[in-house]
Amino acid sequence: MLLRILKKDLKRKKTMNIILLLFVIMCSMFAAASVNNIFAVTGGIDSYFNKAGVPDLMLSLPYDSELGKEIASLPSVTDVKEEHHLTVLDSGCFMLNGRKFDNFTNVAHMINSSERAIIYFDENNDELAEPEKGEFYATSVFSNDSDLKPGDTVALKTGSTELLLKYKGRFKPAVYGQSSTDYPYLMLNEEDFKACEKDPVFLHWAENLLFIETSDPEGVAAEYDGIPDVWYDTRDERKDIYFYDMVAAYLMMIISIVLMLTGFVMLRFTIGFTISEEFREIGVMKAIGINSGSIRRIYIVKYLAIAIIGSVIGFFCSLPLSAVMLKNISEKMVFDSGNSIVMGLISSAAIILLIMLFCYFCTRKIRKLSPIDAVRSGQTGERFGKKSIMHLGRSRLPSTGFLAANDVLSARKQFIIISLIFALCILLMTIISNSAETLKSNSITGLFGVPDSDITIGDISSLEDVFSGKGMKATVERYNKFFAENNIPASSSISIGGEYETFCGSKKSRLLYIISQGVSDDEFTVDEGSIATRPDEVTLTRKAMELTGAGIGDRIKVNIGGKERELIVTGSFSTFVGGGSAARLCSEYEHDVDKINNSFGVQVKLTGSRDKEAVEKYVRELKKLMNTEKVYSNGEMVETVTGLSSTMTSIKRLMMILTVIVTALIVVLMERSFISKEKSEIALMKAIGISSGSIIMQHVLRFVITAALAAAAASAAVLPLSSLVLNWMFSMIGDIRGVSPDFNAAEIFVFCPLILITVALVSSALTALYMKKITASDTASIE
Amino acid sequence: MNKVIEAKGLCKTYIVNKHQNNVLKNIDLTIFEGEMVAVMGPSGSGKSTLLYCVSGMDRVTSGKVWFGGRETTSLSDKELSKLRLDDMGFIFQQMYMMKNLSILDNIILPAVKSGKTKETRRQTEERGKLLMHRLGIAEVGGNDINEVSGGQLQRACICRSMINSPKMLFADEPTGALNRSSSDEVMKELLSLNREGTTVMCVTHDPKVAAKCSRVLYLVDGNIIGEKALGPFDGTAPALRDRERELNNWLMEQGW
Repeated sequence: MLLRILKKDLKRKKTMNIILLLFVIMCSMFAAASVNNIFAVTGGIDSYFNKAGVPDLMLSLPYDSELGKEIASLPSVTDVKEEHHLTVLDSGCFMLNGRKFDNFTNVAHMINSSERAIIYFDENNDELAEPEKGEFYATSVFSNDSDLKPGDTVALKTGSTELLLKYKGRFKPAVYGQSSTDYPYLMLNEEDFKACEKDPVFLHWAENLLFIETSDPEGVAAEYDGIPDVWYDTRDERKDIYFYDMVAAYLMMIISIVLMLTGFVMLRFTIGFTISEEFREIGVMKAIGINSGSIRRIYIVKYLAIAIIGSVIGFFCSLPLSAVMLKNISEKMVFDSGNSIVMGLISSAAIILLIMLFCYFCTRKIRKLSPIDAVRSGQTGERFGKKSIMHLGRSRLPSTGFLAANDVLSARKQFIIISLIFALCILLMTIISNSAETLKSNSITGLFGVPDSDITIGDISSLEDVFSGKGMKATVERYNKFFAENNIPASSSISIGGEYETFCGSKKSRLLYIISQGVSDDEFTVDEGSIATRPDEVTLTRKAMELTGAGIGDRIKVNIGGKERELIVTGSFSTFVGGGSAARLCSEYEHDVDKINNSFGVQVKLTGSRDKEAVEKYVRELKKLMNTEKVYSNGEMVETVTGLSSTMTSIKRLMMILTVIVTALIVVLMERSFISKEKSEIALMKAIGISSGSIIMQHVLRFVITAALAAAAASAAVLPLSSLVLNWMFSMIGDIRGVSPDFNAAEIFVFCPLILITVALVSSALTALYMKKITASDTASIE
Repeated sequence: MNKVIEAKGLCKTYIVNKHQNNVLKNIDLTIFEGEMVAVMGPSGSGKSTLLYCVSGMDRVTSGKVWFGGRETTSLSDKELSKLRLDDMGFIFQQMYMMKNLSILDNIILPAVKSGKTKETRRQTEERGKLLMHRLGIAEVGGNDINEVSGGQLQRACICRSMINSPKMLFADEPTGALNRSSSDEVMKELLSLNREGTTVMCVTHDPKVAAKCSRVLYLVDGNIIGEKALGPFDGTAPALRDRERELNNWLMEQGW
């Protein structure tokens, strides 16, 4: 008998059951995709490093160094692999169809394919094939922003070497960065590599990179630290190259979690909704003597069936969604997709359990209700507060607006939930938009260790005086003279960073020391204390203070260029440089350039107008005068360095699409539920002469009001939340505090809310058209 | 007397599972101004369908209906809605009301929607309160619809149907869900409205209700097979007894 009741129920309440099924599908889809994303991101780098065989320590030595054999004999070392890298100093040495490459700023490295120390992957995440003679693979840094396509022939002309190389495609190196300011890497056939090796021009910055498997990476590194031209990175330090990608991935993770929560809230809502729909029947069943357990079983079996079907469909739908979510970051990394199906299945099973749990709690009320309470739709007849807040007779609103507003206020909980979901959708869009705006704005350039400026000359050759030992001041003077000769109202400055062992008492740490020339120290801001203005002073980041154990007023010791110096800590500052483990010296400090670990080229500060037009004009002019494309506005430079702004923009677009889909789904499903639940009222309104258009408008207005409330709430919360997210995000990259977000007011206060309101309006209007099927005479057939 | 409702060749057919169900078969009907007409007949004879078709709540399959001399069968949904809102009132067996509105707001909703009078909302509200006072439910205006008795709710429905001072009231078993005393109260109000000039068409199973009407139509299988003119009811108990007896005899003849 119960089975028959269930069968009849499934058939009769088809609409509500289909709606519930759609929500289960949506929820299961988001859950499976999100869990997959979360696991891929959190375990992403480790799993990628394991897959690629990244060792415990990487030690860079001069090209012809024989230290590898010595290191291999150390007791803690189990394996050493060597990879020799040749270098091409200027992108202009590569030509495609007669045009010089001008898309990367750094020295290109060339790897001998037969000497690979780790596994490199191709674009399809398969192990990279051996290039034939005359062929090469390259990392994205080499091919991005160029017309290079697989199959094209690139001419390499430098020194006495002239080579024609056929581009086979992109490859993913686990241990080398792939943002446009990173080194481009080329994988050459052994014969081509050997041919280049004979030309000394390739050996200028060439290196011998050791890939060391050891139980004591720090110990091995300490043995060789301090030797000129030797630097090292542990496996954990190498992960830093994915900082910007991980930030984007974590953002995707947050989006996934929010989407998943949205799905759960809607599910909980819909189950509660469908059960309240069935109170009358529950009452009738109770009245005829069916016990509460049996009644509950009917619903639990029904929801179990819906949950299983929905979760299975949702799982299959999650596969393409998951791929879209990971697309941006998977371009650089290889994710282990082996577990994703299992994770997806587990999360789909969790959804079934969760629905059952929801169902159990929602049906708990059945036990408490008397048959007559149930027949009265769960109302006990008692009420202690006023239900209607608004009064038609006293309201100035038009009648349709009044009815819509009254409906919203009468079912506050229900509409607040919808409003919260809408607000979350808007916030996701706007916070990401603000992050993208901030990441391409001039306001954060100071966090990269450079002074207030407008333009950056990113060509590595711009620092040739610094490299050749003439000093930073000479470079600044040369550029100022160049600007004066060419009537460019600007002054130049340069900032470079070198990493040195630092001691405070017995505590030893590695800090990146930034020094700027061509700028007054006062132009740099501090979070606490004061900026270093004397050669024996230093400003540290808070992270550096924690690492060294030094506070403001303490002294630290550092060995720069063979001279040991004692410096007084004067204050703390924020920076991305060195992952936040950084120190700033005063501009008067005579920098003995024995190490340059960080440089942003030459900064140009316009002394006349500094507006966008002026910046663009002088960027164009400098490009022409210096015959290089590597002149950027500071916003462009930040984007070039981090690559985050464009990723954010992609995520923002994805989020906008998801918001449109999720909002439309929620509105369509909720409106369909409302029509189903309010069929009697709709018929009654039609019977007493209220037109269909007016009733449709009332339903549409409910969603518009809800969406407008959500937009208002989101607008109020967007800036503080953006600030929180940005500071959290930046603190992962460096040691950053108190960053205020830049924002596009039109986008976050007008465009994004309008998208949501429009989607809510259009979807509810289209769905509400269904109520045309309800006629006035349906009042006769209403239960 | 002026005709309020006139129907000619009225047919209504439903198709359920490919089976044609002719609910109304070629019905001709005229209701005059000031009349109170009861429609009786066995279950499934088409009483409610007839009420819905002549009031424009449902579309007819064929035939024509005129309301106040205006043909309603050719009107659009919007025009029909306007006509129902301004010139017709409806009372149903189930006391349907908007659950999110108070009783008073439910009553004044058609007036606010109609805009027929140029009065302010306050004035409309006052008029609603007066109506409620007249029907003896003044104290429940601020209540929710599930906080009043069935009789009070049905009287509130009558108030709602009257708020736009309609030319005609359509009542579909208005006392069907009420006990005898509530039923008597509701009928008293309908009679009073009728005496004031409102034409009433009332579907009922109850001979006691029908006996208070001036004319009774008897419907069987979608045809009006009989019609009994009882004349105006003066409201006295002896007159009611005589009318009931007369009606019962007639109903027996019809096969009731």
